Amino acid sequence: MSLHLLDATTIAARIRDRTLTAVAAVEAALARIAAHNPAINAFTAVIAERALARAQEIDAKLARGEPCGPLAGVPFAAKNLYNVAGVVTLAGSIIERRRTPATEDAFAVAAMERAGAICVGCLNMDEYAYGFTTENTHYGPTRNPHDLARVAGGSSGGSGAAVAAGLVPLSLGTDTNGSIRVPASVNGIWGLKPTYGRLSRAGSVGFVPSLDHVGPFARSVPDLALAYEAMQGEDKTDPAQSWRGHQSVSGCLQQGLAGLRIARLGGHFARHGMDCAQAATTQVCDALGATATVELSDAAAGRAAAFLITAVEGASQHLDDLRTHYDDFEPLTRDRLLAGALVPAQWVHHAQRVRSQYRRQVLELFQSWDILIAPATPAPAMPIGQAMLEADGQTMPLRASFGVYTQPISAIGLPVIAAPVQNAHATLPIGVQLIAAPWAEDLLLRAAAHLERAGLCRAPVAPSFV
Amino acid sequence: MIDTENFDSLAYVTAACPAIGLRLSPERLVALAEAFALVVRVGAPALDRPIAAEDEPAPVFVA
Repeated sequence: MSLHLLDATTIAARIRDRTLTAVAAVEAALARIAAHNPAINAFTAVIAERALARAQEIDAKLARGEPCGPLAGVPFAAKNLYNVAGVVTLAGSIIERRRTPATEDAFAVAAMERAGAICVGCLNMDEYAYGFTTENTHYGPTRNPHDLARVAGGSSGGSGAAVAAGLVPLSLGTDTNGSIRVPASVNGIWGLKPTYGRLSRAGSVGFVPSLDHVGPFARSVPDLALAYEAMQGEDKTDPAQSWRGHQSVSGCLQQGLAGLRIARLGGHFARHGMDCAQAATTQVCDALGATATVELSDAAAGRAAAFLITAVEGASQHLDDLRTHYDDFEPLTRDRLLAGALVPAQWVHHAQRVRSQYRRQVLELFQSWDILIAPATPAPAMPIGQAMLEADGQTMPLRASFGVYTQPISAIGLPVIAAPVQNAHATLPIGVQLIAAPWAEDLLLRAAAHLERAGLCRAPVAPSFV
Repeated sequence: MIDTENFDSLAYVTAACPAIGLRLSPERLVALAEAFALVVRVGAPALDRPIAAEDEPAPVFVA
């Protein structure tokens, strides 16, 4: 089987047993990127020299009989808001292009490499992570491998497309309001947004510090688990990290659903979307035996609170540049960013208190349930350039509304896996959210592994890129 | 908290911009007002939500 069709777990096993070299794995990834990236525009930088040097180190260590980690020799790439030594951290902006290259790797990138993985490049995104489509005016749109005329989601669109097209088996993204789950959904791959505070964000460009998370994308659940385990580690340089010790999850993937109480979210999560989003959610609920539907009556308020907090914190990061370099900002979002600078303090203070109220309601729900199910996006990938979304009898601004289901979940820091359902709308995939109480990522991975074994949720390379 | 139906975003952003050191052309003020109207519209379900004394604003996420 061609290397690009293998998952990271298999590649690492072959490198460890020396039926494959790390150099060959990296060279294959670099060749795939050279051949296919022009079609999807997922990469903003490729670091071949560094990656090949690292691969040679891995092969030499293995030749000496030294351990190289669970991801030995596996190529991966990181959203271009993670610092990667020697590369300018663009964050999708031309303002950042004037900065000097990063001098060291972000915590998550370094952690992946400590586990043996090899970073081969940096990935396109919405400017400053503000968006759900990666229609980046400066660096071009990232195109969806399932249909090149459609968006790859955002803001981690390059991370989603690179994995879906089989350029790398793993990638790193960030998620403030849905920026891992939306690209996972529209690219038909797995994405994990852990509990707020679980993983260090140090060395990444922040968007909304009180909502920012980092996490992995993968094409299999064992890969998602390995990457999640690799990214963990105590880091006192991220003031938002709540270190609780290492959570091992690979060992729980075979445990099945025994004892798990699973329900579907209704109300807000049953409205606003196309039929295919609800149909995919029904399929996942059926496969997990979730027959009950529960309401989160405050979900719309929670989402609205996150929207206001995002507007204010996002604007505050960039106000000086907005005053002086307005024309250098992404035309699709610069006025939204600027609007956040004008939100009255009373509104955002009220939003923080609404979020608190909503969090109490959700945590009460987790007294009765372990996993909640909801659609990830209201629709599959939309055509590039489309500004409005028509769904459920409503017309909504697409770029603001694609997070209608993800925003109420990240608003209170819950861990979530986006599980892919292929061919949900003709040939397009769509994702479904598996949501747990804080710190219960292990339960999500058990449920995800069950869905993968059942054959409903799987993430093969997009057909045109096989 | 606010009357979202009748909120005048253009008047608001025109008055508020100088408070943060922004001096914008009339065209840019109109574009900004449209963006602010979206903030008002999407944020309304939170702004309309009554809160109680125990609704602590600190963003903590402990189970």
